[in-house]
Amino acid sequence: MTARDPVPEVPLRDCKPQADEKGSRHPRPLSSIIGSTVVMKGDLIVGEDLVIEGTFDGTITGKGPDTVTVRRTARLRGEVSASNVRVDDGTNLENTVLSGRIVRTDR
Amino acid sequence: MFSKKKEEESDYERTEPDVATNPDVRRRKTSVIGPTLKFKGELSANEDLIIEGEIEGTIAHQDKNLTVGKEGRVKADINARTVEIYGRVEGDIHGEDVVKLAKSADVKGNIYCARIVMDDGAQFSGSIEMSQKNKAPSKPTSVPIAESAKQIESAG
Repeated sequence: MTARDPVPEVPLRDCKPQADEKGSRHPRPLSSIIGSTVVMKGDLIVGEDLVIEGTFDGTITGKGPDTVTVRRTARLRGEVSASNVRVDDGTNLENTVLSGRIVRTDR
Repeated sequence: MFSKKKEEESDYERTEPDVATNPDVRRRKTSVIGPTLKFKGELSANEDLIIEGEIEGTIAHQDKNLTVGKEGRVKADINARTVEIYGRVEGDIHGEDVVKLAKSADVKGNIYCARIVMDDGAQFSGSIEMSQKNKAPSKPTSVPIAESAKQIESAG
């Protein structure tokens, strides 16, 4: 996908109410947090909750029922594939392909 | 014998950073690479970083603190202000200020730093090069030069 391609829309059929997602969350005290100043370029595989606030260029693959959360400050380029993907409303998803159960949040 | 082992474990618990309750993590001043996360590529950051997962590639993390937790596995050269290793690292470590190896650390690579702290039991294979040029500048003393000169004169 190039910069000229339109911003991909999140398919409505993939959106689930947030209440459904809560039931699948694990009571783990720890999840991975990629902070706003972090820049990563490469391939990432994760088997726990992941919060992205920084810049990521590459592929993110979630293994298991956990959630990948993309904050508004994040800059993504590449592919995100996970069981649950939460995206803050207003997040720039240009050049990003999302797959999984995708939920937009108002935070 | 058993009491000694118990003592070692409790000692580790004191030194290992508690990621889950770390206030900086909660305030999002610290990034965390969790225990199930595997990343291959380039990583740079301008905030403290705790690695409990696997990183392979390069880590450019200047002017901040980097911790490789007990479950952490890093195959990369590391650059940071302070580096604390509790897990396994394969690669050169450049610590602008200090590099600390806990007794659970297993490091294969060269260490370049101003200061080093190595716990008894730490595994290390490589060379250590210590240089003051990498040391962070110390805070200036509050005593003016003229005043301190007077003190020296009066003492002499």
